[in-house]
Amino acid sequence: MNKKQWMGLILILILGIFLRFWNLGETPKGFFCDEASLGYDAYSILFTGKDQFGKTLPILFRSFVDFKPPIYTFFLIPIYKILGMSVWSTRFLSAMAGIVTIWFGFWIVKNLSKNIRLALITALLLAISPWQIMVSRTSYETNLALAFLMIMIWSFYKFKENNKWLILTAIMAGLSFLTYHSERVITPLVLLILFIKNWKEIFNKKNTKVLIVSFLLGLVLILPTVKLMTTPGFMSRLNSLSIFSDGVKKPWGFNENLTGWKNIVFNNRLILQTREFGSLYVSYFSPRYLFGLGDPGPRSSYPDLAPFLFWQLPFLVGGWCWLFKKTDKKENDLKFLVILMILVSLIPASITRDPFSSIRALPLVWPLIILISIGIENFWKQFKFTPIILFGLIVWSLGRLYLPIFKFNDYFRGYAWEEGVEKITEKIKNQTLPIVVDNSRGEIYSQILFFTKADPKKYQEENFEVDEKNYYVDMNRNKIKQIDNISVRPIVWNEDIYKDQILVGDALSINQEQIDEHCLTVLFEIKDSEGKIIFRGIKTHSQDKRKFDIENKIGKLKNKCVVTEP
Amino acid sequence: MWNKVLWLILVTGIIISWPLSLINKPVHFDKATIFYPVTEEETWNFEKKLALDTSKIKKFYYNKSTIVKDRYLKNFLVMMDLNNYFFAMHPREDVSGVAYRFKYPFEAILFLIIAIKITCKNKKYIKVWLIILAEILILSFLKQVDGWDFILFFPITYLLYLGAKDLLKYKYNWILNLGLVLLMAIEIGRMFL
Repeated sequence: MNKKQWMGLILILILGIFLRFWNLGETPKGFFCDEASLGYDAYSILFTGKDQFGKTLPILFRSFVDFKPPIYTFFLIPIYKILGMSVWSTRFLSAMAGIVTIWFGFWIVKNLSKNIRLALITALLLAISPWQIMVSRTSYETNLALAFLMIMIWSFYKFKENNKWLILTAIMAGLSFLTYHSERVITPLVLLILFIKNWKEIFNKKNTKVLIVSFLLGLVLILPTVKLMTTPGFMSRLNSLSIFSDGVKKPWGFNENLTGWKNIVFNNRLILQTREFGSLYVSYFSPRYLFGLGDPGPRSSYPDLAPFLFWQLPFLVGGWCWLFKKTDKKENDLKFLVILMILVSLIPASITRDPFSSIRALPLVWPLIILISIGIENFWKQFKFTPIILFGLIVWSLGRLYLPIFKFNDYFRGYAWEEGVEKITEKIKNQTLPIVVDNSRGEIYSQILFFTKADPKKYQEENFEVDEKNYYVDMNRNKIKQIDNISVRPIVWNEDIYKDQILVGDALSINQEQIDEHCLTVLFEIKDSEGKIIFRGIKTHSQDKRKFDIENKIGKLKNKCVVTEP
Repeated sequence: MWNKVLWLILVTGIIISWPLSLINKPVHFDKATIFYPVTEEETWNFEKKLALDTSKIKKFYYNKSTIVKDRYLKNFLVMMDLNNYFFAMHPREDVSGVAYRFKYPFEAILFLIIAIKITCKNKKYIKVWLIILAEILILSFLKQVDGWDFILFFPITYLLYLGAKDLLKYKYNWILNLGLVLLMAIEIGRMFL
């Protein structure tokens, strides 16, 4: 690589860093309970060696209704040791993984195609990819898993230079497998197929030692998780999402009114499931999803911004054509890898019901960007003015990214990121009265733990949910949490208003009518960007309430309770 | 000979699916274009976005043409959607904004993939894709494309035919043909339930 090319790569990385790290602690606004939970688990392990449920170094992390893969949490521990626990430091790991993906994305394409310009275009498009930026700016394990997968692929192809790279391949494969659910399918399949394709070069005498070491290392990494494969904890995610699991939802096209032979023919489970799998699989190739709809989830997409930018569509078509055409032999390795990644990446996403899951199908972003880059590269070969057009398109794209990522998402999707909880903890931190935080809708306790930096040891002692033995088996949950003087549980109106305490809840839990009727005074209100109340903190006045009840009983009907207590 | 019969049934099934669907669920041809008056919801969403940013950037990306451009792109992408043709717009029929219908049995997508392979290798087929593109570009100006989009039936069916024809050259293709015919019968039958 010459100086100019190095310069280009560095500029691309700077752009990637800017788009991923700028305002990372504040945008997306809010901090979702999943992020808070894995953050607090890391914090808890840092100080006690146990997670929030008191389990020593879990293999899978018990979460709200499922179990989380462990690597993101474990990697957060040294980060918290250096940077402390904050929204920024929790998201830092994912943002860093985004940069690693750009870096290795570049080197894989460069090594396989020997075309530096193509590799630079790929890196540039990855740097400005809305899909990649979205997952990099939040604590999603999927992005870290992709980074490991990319390092695995890169080191795999490096083994031809030095067979010791196979050791790194095995470690990265193990880490990728352990980092996110989708990679439990994708990583072994990709690795297996790469091994089969290159078996002649890999399985020879001079590699025996390295192969054994690599295999054992990989096995040591994944074995503890594999051992848990049949536990309810491991299976919970699959059972709740798979199109093949009964009970959750009938397959698309199932007609409940059919009986007899019609039921047998038209409600045939295998046909319906194949059809549904096909529809989900194909949707990941449809321009309507890639350039329009994207993921319907409010936390897995940006408002008014598709996973890919619209101008990339014609280049993607060009890339697809390259894939189907007979091309130069030296392009075969890259072509093979692109096809492999496209076909395998979608399997986990397509067996789950959600349409176009940008989280589960994340590894698809990279091969599709390679196809777009190839489209641009082929266009460049024919039209010398392409760099000017490309520069213009990149500048246009940066403006196009700015509003949805840094403005619209916070304004329109703050609710989805559960904004406002941090402010609650600020308002209640010096209160001496008992506090009840309503958790009828959501898992607010994890954010309270995170933002109050609650003492993990004390929290573990006061909140028993399951013993260590049944950690992966017992799915029963303790919905009531005690965090110092804060009880996180549903408000019980006919009891809680007769105790002097502070009640905190969302606008649905605590409304004006209840405030008037139950002798409550408003301590604070937290509003969203549109000025709507999202949380209220109120103080109860038990004596006034009792007086009000007696007056009502003896017939002195009043509409509003008058508070006399301070 | 039986193989040829199976293949003919298969091709016939592909050809009759979309017209049958039009007979089964008659279409209402709406002549309105995307240049209809701006709705209250569109204005509300648009103005909210505008109010969020005071920089000059917004004017470049969100201006008077945005609402019409969005309507056009929505139509364009609906017609570019593979799921529109093979899966009756599933899994996002809920946000289609246009009437959707059964067009081709889902297994016919195999033929489209083969057709893409054939047409990418041979430049003479580029015309078919250009016809499809031109039709989509024109149809995208309509408010409701259902019914009008039947003009896409001819080039797309031709591509599927090309794919199906290519399948004939493979050994034991009759097994696949038989399976596809059975599946197709179920899919077409589903339309009349």
